Amino acid sequence: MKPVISLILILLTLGILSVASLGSEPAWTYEVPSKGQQFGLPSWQILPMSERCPTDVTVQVPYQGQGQSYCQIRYGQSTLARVAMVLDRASDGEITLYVDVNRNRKIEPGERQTSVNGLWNIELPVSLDSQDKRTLVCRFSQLLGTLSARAEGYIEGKLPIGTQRVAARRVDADANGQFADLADRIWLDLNADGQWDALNEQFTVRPILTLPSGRYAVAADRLGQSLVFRKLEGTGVVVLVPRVEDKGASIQSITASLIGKDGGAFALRGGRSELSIPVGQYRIYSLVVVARSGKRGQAWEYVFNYEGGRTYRWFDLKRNSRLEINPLDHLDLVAEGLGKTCQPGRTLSVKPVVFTGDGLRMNACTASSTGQDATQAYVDLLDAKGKVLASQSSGFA
Amino acid sequence: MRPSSIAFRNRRCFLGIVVLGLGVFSVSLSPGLVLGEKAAAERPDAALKGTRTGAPRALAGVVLDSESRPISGVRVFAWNSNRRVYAETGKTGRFRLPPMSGQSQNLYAQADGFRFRGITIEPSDKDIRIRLTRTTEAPTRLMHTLPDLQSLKQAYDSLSTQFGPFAKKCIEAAEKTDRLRPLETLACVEPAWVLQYLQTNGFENAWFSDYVRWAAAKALLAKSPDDALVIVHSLEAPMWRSMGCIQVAEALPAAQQAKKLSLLAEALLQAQAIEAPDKRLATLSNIGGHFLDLGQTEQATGILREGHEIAKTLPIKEWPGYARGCLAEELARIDLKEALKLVTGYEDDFDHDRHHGNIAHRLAGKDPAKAQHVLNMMRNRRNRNRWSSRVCYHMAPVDAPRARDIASAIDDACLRAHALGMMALSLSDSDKPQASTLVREAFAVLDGLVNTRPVRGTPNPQDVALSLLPVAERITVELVHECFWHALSLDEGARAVSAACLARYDRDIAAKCLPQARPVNEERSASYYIALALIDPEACVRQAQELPEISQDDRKDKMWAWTRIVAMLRRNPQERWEWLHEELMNLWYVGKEDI
Repeated sequence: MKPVISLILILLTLGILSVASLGSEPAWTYEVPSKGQQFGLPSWQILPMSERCPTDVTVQVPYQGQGQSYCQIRYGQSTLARVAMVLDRASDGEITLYVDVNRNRKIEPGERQTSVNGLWNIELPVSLDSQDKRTLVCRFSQLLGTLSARAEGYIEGKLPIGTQRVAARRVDADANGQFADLADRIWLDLNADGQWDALNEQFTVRPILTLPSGRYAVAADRLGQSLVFRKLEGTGVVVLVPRVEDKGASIQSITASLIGKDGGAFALRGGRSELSIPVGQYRIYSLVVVARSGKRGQAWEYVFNYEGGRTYRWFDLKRNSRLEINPLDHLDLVAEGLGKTCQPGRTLSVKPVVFTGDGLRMNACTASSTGQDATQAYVDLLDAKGKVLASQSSGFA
Repeated sequence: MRPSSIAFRNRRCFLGIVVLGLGVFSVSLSPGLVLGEKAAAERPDAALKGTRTGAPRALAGVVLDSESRPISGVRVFAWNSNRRVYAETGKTGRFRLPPMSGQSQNLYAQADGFRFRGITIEPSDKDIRIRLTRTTEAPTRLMHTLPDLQSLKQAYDSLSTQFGPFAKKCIEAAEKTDRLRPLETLACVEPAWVLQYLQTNGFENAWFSDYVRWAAAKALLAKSPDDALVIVHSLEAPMWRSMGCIQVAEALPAAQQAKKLSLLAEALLQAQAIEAPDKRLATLSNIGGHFLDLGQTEQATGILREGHEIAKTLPIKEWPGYARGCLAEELARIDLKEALKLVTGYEDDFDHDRHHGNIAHRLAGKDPAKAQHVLNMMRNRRNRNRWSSRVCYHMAPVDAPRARDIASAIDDACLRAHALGMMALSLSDSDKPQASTLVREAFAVLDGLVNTRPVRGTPNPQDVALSLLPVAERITVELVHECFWHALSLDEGARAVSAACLARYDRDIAAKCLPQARPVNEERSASYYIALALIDPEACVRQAQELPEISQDDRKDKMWAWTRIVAMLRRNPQERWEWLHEELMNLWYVGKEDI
């Protein structure tokens, strides 16, 4: 081969390689800075506590203290079971914390946490991959009598914004193991000076962000694996209009997560709440509803998500349009297994399931905001004459 | 809702401004000081009894100077049946006042060139001797701010058991927003209980839950800013969270500048999430102002310019109009011309005047001529009078003659005296002789109001005089005793407000000023319990505990009393003094931004 041709081939190869390296973004990585180098420390979030142990949680440790408080948090992927925590309080003020890290609904001796300087650092998986962990820090305030938590560390990566490649960090500000909530933060090193300016380079997650170089549609995934900024091509308004057929029920709060076909996620909170978002196709990804029976009845929290759900319903949001979504329309209660025949002496397994019109399935149902009474609701199986054949706890985990 | 009822008072922190009395509380007790109130503190019930009966009797005596020489021409007076009764000393220094009721009595003596003097005489006192010292001489008696009673802390610590059960009973029995006040008050005593309660019993309107949580956070600001911040971040509305961050930043010591800036950055992020443009604007204005205070002009300018764009789109009335004014007040510090454009066109005189007054206030220490110009743009004379005090305060150190002109132009004597006092305060470090002269001048103005009819809507002359006691103390502790008695001489009545103020210097005398009968209506109740909490905290808690709670009105009255007591006991001395101004005296104090 002639040297000129070889050189051309080498140059071509190098060119291809360099183009290839430009095209593949390095993965987003989770970083926990060393002590003293902490970055963008989010604020503490109070965890709601109760004196009652959730009925489906088994305690396998001998408590040392005179009183215990319990809480449960959702952390990471919404399909994962909640994480139960127990504060064991001794009369001398000493506190022991147990965290059901493996989410098996058992408080086990190995789940006793060790505190350093009054803080507990807990590593919790955020997805089905048990190695995909984040650090949650907990703190007990004697003054407030509350347990608070905050996420440690951040997700770091680079992304193209306009003509620039910008270093970015994402912080889970509300300590739920996700990075696309309205409270969560995106830091962008816009002037590429390697410094992070809290005033000009820190943003809360919004569908649309205005930067010095223009307005961008932001597609931020929930678990912090992708972040895309696109020049805004147009926006529309999404409105949450929750309506239920039961006139006696009143909705106390509602939060719907929308996810776009490009992976961007947005949260809509509250009835009639509006959100201006980039045009595109969206579906409801998860839904949390707190409703009361009447005005002073018990408040129940219902969590719907795509785990075990049906076909999604997609909404097309067009430029300058207004899209009203009722996430509670066409609620469908199904008793799975009821169609089967049952021989005398055999067990008939019936599973009550509720789906929304958007294909989400109800996967949790808890009384009050502390979520302690998960299995206090019962389902009665009646015969055609209304006689109770069997009664069982709700089955919603 | 008037904008002034905004949940957070826009109470900004001006660096370099000497906060009234801050240094005063550090004065230690020296053995030589006369502490007549000490005995009363040890015998609180005795102090509270007072003596107010007896047959009429004539008061006679002699007035002497420090070398026991008689002084002629001294005006000696006392209050009798709501009027001052005067006598003048002759060559022998003797005086004789007409017969008056035989109760214990305060007697006052006043003469040019001498320090004002007052004494308490008992029915058994026959020939009264009053000794005056010249203004050029050191006073024979000194007075200063008393340290807190030990029982005050004990009373505060007992609130959980004394007030807690009653509050919880009220909360459980209350309907809807009736829970607000008991919860707000209890949040200062048992924040943990209240936070826990709200988790499962929040208000239908989340704004109220935020309001109560914020009360708990506020109570913790000084004690534990970290815990206060934890509560702030649990607030639902971004506006509350933003304002909460600002307040926590404000509460931090100046040395923690980095943390303050970080909290302001957080406040800014939260502010960006506020949907309503007028609320967002009001919050941005506040943040911008704080950045200016911390010397971050570039950052502040960016924020205020952003706010300016929003402000231009808002109407100039109601809440949006208020928000425009808020922005204008801060913008004036960097761009007066544009700021004034924003506040042009208010229909309501008060709205117009409030923002012009606040702009003048902000400019007074930086550009006195422009401040005076803006002050003169105020439409209503009475409003201008009210704002002049604080303009004078900021202006006096940089342009004293102009400040004096502004004070002289105040046609309400009470407020003129207050303005002179505020000038004295701002000069108290740099020019003590001038400051002393101003205080005496203020008292002379107030003297002229004795036996005149009170003008509706203006402060009480005695309140103004009492508000100047810490000013006198800041100038020199030698001035306090004469000002104390001079203030006392301005009114006869047993006023709980006076008692509350006097308790700072002499709890024995303060106790005698406290009305004997327990109050029957809310307004009197407020000042009575506030004063009693300062004079005898233990008795105060006991009396509140004994209040009936049979009917709903009873419980309401009892809750009202407890609310005032908790508010008083939980504050530090400086905050208490400011709160007296706020609640009972309706007078501006350093650090207060808006009226």
